[in-house]
Amino acid sequence: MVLVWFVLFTGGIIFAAFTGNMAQVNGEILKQAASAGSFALGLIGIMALWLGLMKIAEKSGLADLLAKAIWPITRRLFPDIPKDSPAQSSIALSLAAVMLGLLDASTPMCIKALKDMQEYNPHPDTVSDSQAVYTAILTSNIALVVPTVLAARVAAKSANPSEIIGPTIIVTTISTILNVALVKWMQNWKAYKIGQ
Amino acid sequence: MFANAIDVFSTWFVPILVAIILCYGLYKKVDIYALFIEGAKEGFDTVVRIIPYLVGIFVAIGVFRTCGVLPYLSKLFAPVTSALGVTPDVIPHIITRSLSGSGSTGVMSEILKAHGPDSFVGRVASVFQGGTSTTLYIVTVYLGAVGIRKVRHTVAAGLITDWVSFLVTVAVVAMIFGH
Repeated sequence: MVLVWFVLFTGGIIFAAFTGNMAQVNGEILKQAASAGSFALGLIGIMALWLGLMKIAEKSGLADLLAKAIWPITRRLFPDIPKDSPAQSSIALSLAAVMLGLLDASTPMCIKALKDMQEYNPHPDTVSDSQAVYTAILTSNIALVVPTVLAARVAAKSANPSEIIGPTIIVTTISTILNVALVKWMQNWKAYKIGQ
Repeated sequence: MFANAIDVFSTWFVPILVAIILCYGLYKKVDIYALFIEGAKEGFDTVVRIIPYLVGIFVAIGVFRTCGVLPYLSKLFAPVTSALGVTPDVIPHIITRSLSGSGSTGVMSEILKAHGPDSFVGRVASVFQGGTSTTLYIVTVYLGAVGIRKVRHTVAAGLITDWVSFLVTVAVVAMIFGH
């Protein structure tokens, strides 16, 4: 992560120095810092809304129903999270939100799920194997509907904006299987073992 | 017709979901209002915790996107993209897809505008956008929010997946729609 961050930042600045793009880069640094702040501000209300609704779904047992439905899958993906843990409900709810393409809801819900999984993480500053698998599912996407793509296709006057839904589901299924397999394989590599 | 159904679905889904959550809570006799307030209180703290990570990733991505390296990489990869039957502007799309959601949506829209949404490369861009997600943003912000700084193999695995997924997308789109 440090390496990626460093390359994006310093690599960008060095490249700009040689290509005469420094004026744009200079403007962008302050602009992006400010926009990160206003983005966070806008996120507060959305976070509060979904975390509030999530609490109701959790305490009423609605989330448990969902968690039980996907238990055969989650027990294999996250072996160290017990069946009756609150983490099971928040994992189920968050994955449902991502699948349905609820972009606003998925950020608070996924963070909540990772936070609940921290209970079973003996090294709280290091990602656990289960959390890595969960993150892999998110970064490879599992959305069945992608509202932003459909909107962009409609805006570009596609003859059939929704024809990409089927292929998208095929690709995202393959990408998720691949990412989870990669993470499971790499978790035991010497360089990535916990405690290194 | 189908696009219309999707439109109805996305308009109705959230309100109905909210109604279901509230009704089920009422039916199970839990104090829905008190629970809502209790949960919502965590919203502010969660956001405050992710601000440093948001600033760090937004600025780094901004520098990278404006430094002029993306058009250069497109040119560098042009032989590879033409062998795959796509245009060189997919390279900035693949790279920004791993970095930011709104950024990559913008790049995808440019591709749709330049080549048409129903062209081969337009379909590839549309499918790829939904086929994978923003690896770097999710790893930094989500894991950062819960206090995790050592992310181990997640970034490497995610980035490899993003690039391989592009090849998968080209194959799937060619198979379904033809070239």
